[in-house]
Amino acid sequence: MKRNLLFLLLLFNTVIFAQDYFTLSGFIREAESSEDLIGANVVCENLKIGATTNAYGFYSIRLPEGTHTIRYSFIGYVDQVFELSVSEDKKRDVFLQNFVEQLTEVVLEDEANLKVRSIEMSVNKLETKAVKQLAAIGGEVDIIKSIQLLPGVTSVGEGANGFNVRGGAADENLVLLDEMTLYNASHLFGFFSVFNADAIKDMKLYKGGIPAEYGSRVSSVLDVRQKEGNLNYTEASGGIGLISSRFMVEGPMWDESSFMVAGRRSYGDLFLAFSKDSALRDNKLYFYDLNMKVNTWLGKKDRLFLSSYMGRDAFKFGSLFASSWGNETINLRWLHLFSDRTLSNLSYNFNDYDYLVSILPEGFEFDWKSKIRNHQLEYDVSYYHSNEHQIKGGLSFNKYDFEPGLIAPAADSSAIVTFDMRDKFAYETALFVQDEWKVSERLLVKAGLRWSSFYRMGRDTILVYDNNAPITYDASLAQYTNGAVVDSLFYDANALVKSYSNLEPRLSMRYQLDESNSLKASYQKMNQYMHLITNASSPTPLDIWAPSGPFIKPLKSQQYALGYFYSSDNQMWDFTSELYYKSLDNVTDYVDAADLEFNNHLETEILYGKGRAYGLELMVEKKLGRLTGWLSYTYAKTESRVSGNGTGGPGINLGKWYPNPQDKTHDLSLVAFYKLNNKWSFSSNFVYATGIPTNYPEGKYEYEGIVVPHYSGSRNQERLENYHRLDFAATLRPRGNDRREWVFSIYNIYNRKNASSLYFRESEDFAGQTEAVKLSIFPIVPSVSYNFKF
Amino acid sequence: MKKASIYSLILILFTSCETVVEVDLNEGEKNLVVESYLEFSRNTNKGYAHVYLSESSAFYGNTSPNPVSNAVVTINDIHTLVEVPDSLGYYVSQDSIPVGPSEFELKITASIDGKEGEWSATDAYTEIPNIDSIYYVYEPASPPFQDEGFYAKIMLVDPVEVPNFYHLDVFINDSLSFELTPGTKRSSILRDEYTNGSDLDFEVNDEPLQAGDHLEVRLSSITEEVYFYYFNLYTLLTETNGIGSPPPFPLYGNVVSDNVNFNNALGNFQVRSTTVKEITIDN
Repeated sequence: MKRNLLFLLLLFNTVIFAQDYFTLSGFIREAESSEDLIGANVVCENLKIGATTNAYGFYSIRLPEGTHTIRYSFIGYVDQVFELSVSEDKKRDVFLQNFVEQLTEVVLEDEANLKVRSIEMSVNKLETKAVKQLAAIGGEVDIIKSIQLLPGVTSVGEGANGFNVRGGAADENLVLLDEMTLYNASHLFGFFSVFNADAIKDMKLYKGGIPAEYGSRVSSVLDVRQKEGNLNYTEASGGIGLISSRFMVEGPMWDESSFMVAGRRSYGDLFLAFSKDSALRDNKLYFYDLNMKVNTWLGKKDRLFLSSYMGRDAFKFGSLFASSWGNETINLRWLHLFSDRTLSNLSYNFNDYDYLVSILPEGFEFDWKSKIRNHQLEYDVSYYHSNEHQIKGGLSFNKYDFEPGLIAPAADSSAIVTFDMRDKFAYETALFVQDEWKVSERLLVKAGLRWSSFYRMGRDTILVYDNNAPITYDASLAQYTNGAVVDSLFYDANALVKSYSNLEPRLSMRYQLDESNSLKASYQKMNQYMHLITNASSPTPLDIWAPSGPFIKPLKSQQYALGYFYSSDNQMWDFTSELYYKSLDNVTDYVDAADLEFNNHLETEILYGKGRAYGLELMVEKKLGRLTGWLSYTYAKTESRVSGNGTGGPGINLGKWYPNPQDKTHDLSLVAFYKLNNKWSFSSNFVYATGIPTNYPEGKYEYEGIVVPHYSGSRNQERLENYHRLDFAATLRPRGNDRREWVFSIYNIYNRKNASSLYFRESEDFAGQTEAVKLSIFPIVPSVSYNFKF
Repeated sequence: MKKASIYSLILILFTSCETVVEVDLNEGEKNLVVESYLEFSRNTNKGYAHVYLSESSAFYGNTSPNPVSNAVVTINDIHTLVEVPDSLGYYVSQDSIPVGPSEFELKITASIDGKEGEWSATDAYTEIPNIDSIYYVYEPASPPFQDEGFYAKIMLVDPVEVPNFYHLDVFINDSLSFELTPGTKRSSILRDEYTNGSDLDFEVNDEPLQAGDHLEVRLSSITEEVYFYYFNLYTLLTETNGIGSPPPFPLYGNVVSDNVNFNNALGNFQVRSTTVKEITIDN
């Protein structure tokens, strides 16, 4: 009893103490459109305390009674400074003006030494404004290609789908668009991303120090937010390029509500219709995107958002086959302010990715369909307890439906019989809590814990293998073979097949040495229960996702990072350096010649092992002046060791460490922007990277008259030649503003024939003679695009 | 069609440049390469064996393989194959081999680079269904994949009771007709995973036939292991060399090395039962 009284007394004391403080809260918005500004700053200058707006533009700061100088700021916008007398809780929404007159072109989002002060590390942000100024293939502005100019982000080549973060595979990135999951974020087989830059407001890539609210993937989170729509007036913008055109319209609907609708479509196929060649007319190749968002305030405390994205690629090659694939997503979000210190977010997401392939040889016509979809419910609460503690907690529930494959005859005369791979079902749940704790003026700590669980559900039939070994090694044939099936277990609908549960601690720390220097450290543990089934170095749009289950284990990772951050006194220069080490368990790799298509028993093709990735990332950024830009350099290694435990076999590469396909030892990017005047600005970037791992034959032989290269079986021990490229772009704004602009760009200005792959074959001209052939994709590509706004 | 094939085909549209380059390669040890067939005719139920033995070589080595001569080659220990005098490395059975057993074993003793080795392989007999008919039709052009002309078709019923694996050779005027890669003739393989029990009626020639052309179809039944040997061979040659492709791999068949001097042999041993149909395009 006495102990309880003491506790209450302590609590009461805390409350009494807290009464000396009052809350200043509100939203920081762009003045022109009233769009929420994410990551804007509010600073009490006399107390040297501050806060940052969250993903909804909301801030909350605790101030003692008295008069304070409050500065609101955001990169590229004019600061607003108020003298504020505080004697009660106050709500203040602030509208910042775009700083259009400056010659300065600040590129990476960073407010005055924010990188030094913020607890975040291993985070990259890139403004769409900057992305639009970079040279791009065909003038097609691309967020994902642009983030590859930042340290720690790479891809396996120009024609590769997806991107790689700190040595992770492409499926280890969680790609979110307004909290909706995109299972494939590429168009045209990886040449372009699905993000229409006109519709995008903000983009943030977490490579490490990932907050506890995020999970499901082990390498990174790419959090992309769509524009909400101009609350003040209707405007439209768009662009015409060589590959696609885009159009976006946004504006107010009724009081405190707005909309945004954007579309983009490529049109190479439209020109085919004018061809005299009927063969060409019968082909198709295009993609499109539709982005939509509406939001409305319901009183002062509630706001509703409805976002959606739909995008698709379509391809038809004569009468032989046709294919299409794409994402369809929708997000409904309810933002509620319980108080000036407590904000909640309830959202429902529906995400769908599917593809259809029609293969049409006479007598064997069939359609091949596959789909993954999930319904997700999320709820989180942010509580701004004090300037010392910002607490966030929440939960999420995911229901996954996997339709890995259905083959059905596409003509009455087809000999194909229907083949349906069994649908699979799973639930994923998560609970998280985190606290950003200002321990002292110098030390800031963000600690979080996520409890993730995954439930693989019936209906399904699971095979039982002899010795529980779905894959065994036949020493005499020196090959892996399927394990012996001794039984099968049928699980009815909603019966639990297998479950996993894991705690994922997250910790980030910042120690500020002085105004210009800080040290940071982070640790994260993450689990991934979804796996893209592919043995290629770059996924294709036709790969399938598979859930963890009795045989496919969750991928687990732990990452440690240390960083040093410097910002010059005049804010001209930033320097960041980070060291990281990542270890992975249950890394999957596939046996030689793995059979992954229409395989209901993928466990017979998979070997498990360990992975590791480590590296050093350096970045120097010049933020002010006519000439701005950055130099980034990454030294990195990413390797796997797959020993074949439990199979009796030697594993991959005889159980020794071998480089992953995305391993690039050196990766350098130099990016420069130069603003000559209000009409002309220029950009250029140079990239250099170590060639990706590949495999060379050690001999050849002839079989049935065909020359066959013979490989030793060691994996990824050779490399393609080093990659380098220089691009240039010039932007002309005839009227000196962004209402009309022409972007002229040249990709690969010195026409370097970079190797996308190297293969070995019999010469086409000389029978029996063999040769190595380098395949290059993009030569020099000049382009022009026109952007407008009205 | 594998999705990697589809994807590769699509990517080719964007491929701007192929360049032959010089690459320094490590050279592995020489190994035995085995092409061996025990082929039974459905019509006669008699089998004949023919084997070709050669050596692997450095990738930039000889343009034609070195045959392996003076080897001892037997089937089921009782049928000894003899080397054809004017064709070094070719070994054939002297007499017909009866269908009798369901499994057959090939044994080879040979010298490679002065070292003697022994190899063995087993494969099973599976019966080929009959080709019910062969006929041809005239088809208009369907660009870009099909030119105008005559196309031959075969009809057969796939047996429903068991999984079937087929090997198809189509000879047009005595030449193999399909191309794996430009200039490379090959056979086709089929399996009935998605056509089990169906009435099959399909074209067998890629290029159109002309009046007077003679076409011979040799359809063989092979085992699943042999089917996947071909499947992996074609995968290795066509799908492990593109952008973002799966890694290439050493391709071994069922010919096992019985001593420590050598790895398993390259190539394979296969038992086939074969049915043949022919047709000539009327003038």
